Amino acid sequence: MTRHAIVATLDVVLLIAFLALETPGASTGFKFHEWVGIAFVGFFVVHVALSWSWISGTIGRLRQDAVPRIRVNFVLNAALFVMALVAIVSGFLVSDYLLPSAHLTTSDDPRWRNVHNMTASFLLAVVGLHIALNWNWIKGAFRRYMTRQSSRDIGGESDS
Amino acid sequence: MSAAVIDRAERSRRRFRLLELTVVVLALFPFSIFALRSSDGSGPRLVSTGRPGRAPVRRELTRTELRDRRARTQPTLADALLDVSIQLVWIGLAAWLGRRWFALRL
Repeated sequence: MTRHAIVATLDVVLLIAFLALETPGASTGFKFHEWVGIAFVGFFVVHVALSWSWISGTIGRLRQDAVPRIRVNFVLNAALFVMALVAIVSGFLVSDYLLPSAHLTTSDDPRWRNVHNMTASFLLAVVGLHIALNWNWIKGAFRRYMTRQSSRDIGGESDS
Repeated sequence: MSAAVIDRAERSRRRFRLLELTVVVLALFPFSIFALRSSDGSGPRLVSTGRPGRAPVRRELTRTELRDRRARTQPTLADALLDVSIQLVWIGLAAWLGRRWFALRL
């Protein structure tokens, strides 16, 4: 599996996990929501680690004269990172099942729940914008996947 | 009229239409999210309490009450599909609007 394929697969997994996390009552149930949340943190860390060369490269370019698209992309990704971090931390703080089951005290403060819900809701819009800015990459990855599939199919036909 | 002036007018018209559309979407977003959060039980958890004949007092559910309520309500597959579809629509709308804005400005 190439690095590109790993990144694309991870992004799809992240999107599915994100969708499941967004409506805990209807899709996962609240207990499983917290387990999916833990898995999401792992995927999120790997996603950031795999994008590290882009992050450091962009920071370097921002110091020079970067084009507006790069600036907007960086600001959007930074907002996404901070919002995801807030949602994750507040999620841990208001954990109802996982952390209490490990005998860790969590907060019952409705304000923390509101912070968790609000950031999660606004993340929907920011994820949409993130997809918009990376649309060409997504399209390219999909096209590459489809081309590989069709060439594999052709190879399979010629073998038989 | 020169081509540049026409082009600028066209861009300005497109920008205005996109702005109108964005305002409508932004106005609808909180209602949809509130409905989503209320339907799946992760939204505000206010209950009315109070003795008969007196004005009800609204308070937040305690954690125990919350767990009891969650245990009683089991979501169906239709609920899950509906909620995920609503989210996909919002992500799609944000992506579509974002692409249009970025195409105009970046």
